[in-house]
Amino acid sequence: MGSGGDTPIRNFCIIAHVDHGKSTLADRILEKTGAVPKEKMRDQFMDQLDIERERGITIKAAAARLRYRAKDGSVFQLNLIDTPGHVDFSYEVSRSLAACEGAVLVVDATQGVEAQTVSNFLLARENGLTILPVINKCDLAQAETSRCVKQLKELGVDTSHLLNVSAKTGAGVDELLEMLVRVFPPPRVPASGGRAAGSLQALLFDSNYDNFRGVLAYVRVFSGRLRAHDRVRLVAAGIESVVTEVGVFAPAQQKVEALEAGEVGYVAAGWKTLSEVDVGDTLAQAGDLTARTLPGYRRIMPMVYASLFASEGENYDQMKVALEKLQLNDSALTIEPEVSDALGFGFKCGFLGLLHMEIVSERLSRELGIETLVASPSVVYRARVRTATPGGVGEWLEVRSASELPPRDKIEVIEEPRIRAMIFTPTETVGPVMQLLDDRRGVMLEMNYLDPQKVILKYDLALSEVITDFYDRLKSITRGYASFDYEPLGYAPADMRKLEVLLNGKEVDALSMIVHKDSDYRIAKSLSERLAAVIPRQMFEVAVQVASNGRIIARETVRALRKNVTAKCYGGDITRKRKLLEKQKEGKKRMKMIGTVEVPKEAFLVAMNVSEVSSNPAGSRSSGRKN
Amino acid sequence: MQPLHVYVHVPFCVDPCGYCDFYRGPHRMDREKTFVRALTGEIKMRLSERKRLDTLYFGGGTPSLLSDESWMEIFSAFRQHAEIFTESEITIEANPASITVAAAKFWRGIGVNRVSVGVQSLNGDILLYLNRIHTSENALDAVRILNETGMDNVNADLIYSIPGQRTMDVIDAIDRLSPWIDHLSAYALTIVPGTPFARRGVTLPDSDVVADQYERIVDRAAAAGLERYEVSNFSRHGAESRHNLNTWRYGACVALGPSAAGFDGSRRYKNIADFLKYAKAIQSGELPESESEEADPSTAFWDRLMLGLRTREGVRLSPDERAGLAAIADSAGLGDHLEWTENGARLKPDKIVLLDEILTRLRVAAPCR
Ligand SMILES: Nc1nc2c(ncn2[C@@H]2O[C@H](COP(=O)(O)OP(=O)(O)O)[C@@H](O)[C@H]2O)c(=O)[nH]1
Ligand code: SF4
Ligand SMILES: [Mg+2]
Repeated sequence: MGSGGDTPIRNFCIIAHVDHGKSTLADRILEKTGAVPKEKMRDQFMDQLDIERERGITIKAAAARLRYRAKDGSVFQLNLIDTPGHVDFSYEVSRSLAACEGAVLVVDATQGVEAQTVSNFLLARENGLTILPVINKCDLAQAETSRCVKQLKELGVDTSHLLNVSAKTGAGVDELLEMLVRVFPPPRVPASGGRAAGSLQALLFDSNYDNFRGVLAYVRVFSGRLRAHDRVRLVAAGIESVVTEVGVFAPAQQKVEALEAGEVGYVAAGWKTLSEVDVGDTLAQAGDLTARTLPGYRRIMPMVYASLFASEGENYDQMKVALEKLQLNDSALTIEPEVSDALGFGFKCGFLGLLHMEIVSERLSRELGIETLVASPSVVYRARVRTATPGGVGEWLEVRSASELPPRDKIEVIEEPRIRAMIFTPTETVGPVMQLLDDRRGVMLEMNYLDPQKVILKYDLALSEVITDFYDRLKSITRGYASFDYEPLGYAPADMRKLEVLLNGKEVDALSMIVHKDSDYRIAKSLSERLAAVIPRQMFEVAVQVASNGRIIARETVRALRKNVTAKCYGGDITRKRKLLEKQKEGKKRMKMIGTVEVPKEAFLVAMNVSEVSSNPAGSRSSGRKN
Repeated sequence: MQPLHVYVHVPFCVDPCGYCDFYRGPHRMDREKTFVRALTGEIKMRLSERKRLDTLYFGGGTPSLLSDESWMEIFSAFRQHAEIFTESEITIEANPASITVAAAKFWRGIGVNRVSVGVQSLNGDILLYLNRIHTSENALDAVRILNETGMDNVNADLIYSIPGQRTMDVIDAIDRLSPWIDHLSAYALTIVPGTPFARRGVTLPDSDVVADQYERIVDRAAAAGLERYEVSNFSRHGAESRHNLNTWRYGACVALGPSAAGFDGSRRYKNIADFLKYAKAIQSGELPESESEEADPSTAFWDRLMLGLRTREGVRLSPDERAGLAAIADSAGLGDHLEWTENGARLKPDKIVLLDEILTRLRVAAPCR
């Protein structure tokens, strides 16, 4: 396939709430345009990683160049850019959207508009895309197309070109292709900003790691042309290198001589790690000193930190290798070694969000064949510490766990990350949902009726209140009918407390956590109760105390063990008895001594899951959320 | 010459008890004959040099089921291969149902001077629950008969920590038995996998309840003149079971009969727990063993502690061992749980109930070798 030349181009993506049929629709489009012959078609072709296919999650954006002959005979080059569907990856979604001119907005005819329909729509609109709404699953008897259309109109979606399709049967997909080449504009050219017309500007919207060529950057060329052997520069990173290869996805990788303005493809330029190649950065000719990044660029910062430990211990090296391998293809994942008194060697990892965390731990388990323990997920707080000199300007510290918190008397103020949450929920569940949001320190921003059956709640929420079990709770009180999405809303001061656990008066570092003043009693109580339940009775009484900012607010007692002796021990019992004691010894060895108190590993896992209802350890959280 | 301790396992019972995991089978005359023949064969094999017999213990199973002829045969075999004195402690375990004046006189006549009676409880409902074949009257008669026949030492076995059992039941049993007995064994019921109780999913009372019962038992037995000298054993002064003390002192013991476990001072063995295979092995002149292990020094040390610390007298230790144990106990934070005797160590009386916990703590604190 030659490069664009004079073939008109349409760059577009498909956006949808999870399970509304994005991947299936992409499959049909690939098939109809002959990019993938029917017999080679696997379901969800664009979802390349096994885990994506299995969980129905689209994590890595992929792109496909298709050739479409319209009914009137004209031929188009279509670039279909797949976007990750989850909010954790919203920055990546927005970069993928920035590479397009049009978006097909898919709505499941049986479900109607959901949270991610809205957030995706808003992102697309922000990026100036032309939006073509499509009602999917029209083959189903329960399809309520007119309700969907009403909801879309309510949202402000232009429905004048709306189509009904079935991605499953293919009905309406031909019409969709005809429609999109008509309504989606040809590639736009950014304002030249005084620079020579035709100088290279290419947006990096995704990247991938390849063992032979290093990093493959996925680019959309906005102006100029990108060729092999060009000397190029990553504008934000300031890294210069020579292009070794350019190519397109047809949808298999295929080398080409050049990528022209408006086209989408990949570039290899000897980049060794993803950390050099930021999604959102701009590629320019090395000599072009006037080049600026295309709008919208920012560095990805982890939102949630958690510690990962191998459940079997001793697998540290294996885990390190596996994490580094994951990192090659996941620039958003940060890792650093960590030592926990209780759980041994592990890693403190930074994630974009909870789903991201789950995916990483799941991939790790799969890769290593071992369970990983995800301990104490925490958001990143900011603390301003007092200066030595009175009146001096305090310095801001990032705090990613209770142990990083400076001494109390040094802290001027703590700020916590807030999010703007959007919740779609059936009207009859609004009461309990609002109660939940209230419990999680939510502040209502807006409440609207999408239609009489569905309410949209917009809340300002503490991220820390969402990372434990919020989503599971939401799903359970709405019997699965609520959908949820969020975006970061910056930092706000919060009255956060350090909860410390004391066992017979001795503080246990690994069990401390940061909590809000309003929930310290509740969490302290539940924490002390659950710790007391997992700490075995010992030869003396064990006091389990929880202190909030140094003041004891909860106490439980593990009563002393009063009797533990085998009733009979005669000649015939000795060998068996010895083996039993040996086994007990091994069990004890796995416990951690805090002073003279023996603490089993479970105790440390208890601490990371503080809510009173959820009993799953975070390591095995069920993931309701996907896309 | 080394004194000899011998244990004999008699593998017959009338009707198995719900909690029991001893090796035993139904009692029939032909099986008894086979057993006696094999046993006398094993006596020849294992007691090659004539030694002075210190203790001889017939356990089971139910030794009291054996016929007079069998006893004669067994004892004549023993007299041939060991020197039996009047001071030799010779014990048989007996079911209350098989204890009559005649039987007691007969046993006394052949040299038995200690009888251990499987009373277990004096509450009829509990006896039924345990599937015992005797009544509480049987049991009281039995200890009285044995006492009156002039047995040197009469022991009664009791079981506590039985679901539904009241502490008063056990206390009351001690009171009613104590006039006739010299020795008492009180065992906490344990649910052993594979037993009917385990299969029925019997659950034990709360461990605090059990601890309370135990404390009451220890006190009441002491009040009746039966003082605790081992976790589950109580006796009048001088009436301790020498046979069992030998085991807790890490002494050698020749074990005979199917499933019996013996020890020669360094090697432990276990006989085949299968009546016919056991008999066959002996017939073909082989030792009827199924397991054998040689203790390494560390195993031996911990075995000695495991056994010795069960007792009032404690464990004998060399000065080096004593120092070593003291260091371990200190690092385990258990220094104040032990008492140091001039040639060893013992647990403080109120700490004996925690022995297993203490042992594992000590082992975790011990430097590994
Ligand atoms: N009946 C019917 N099912 C569909 C249709 N489109 C998708 N599905 C099913 O809906 C589920 C979710 O589809 P998928 O393409 O994975 O959704 P995505 O999460 O948006 O990528 C799958 O089980 C599809 O088979 C359709 O048009 N009709
Ligand atoms: S009589 Fe003794 S050996 Fe026989 S089954 Fe009962 S408890 Fe077990
Ligand atoms: Mg998908």
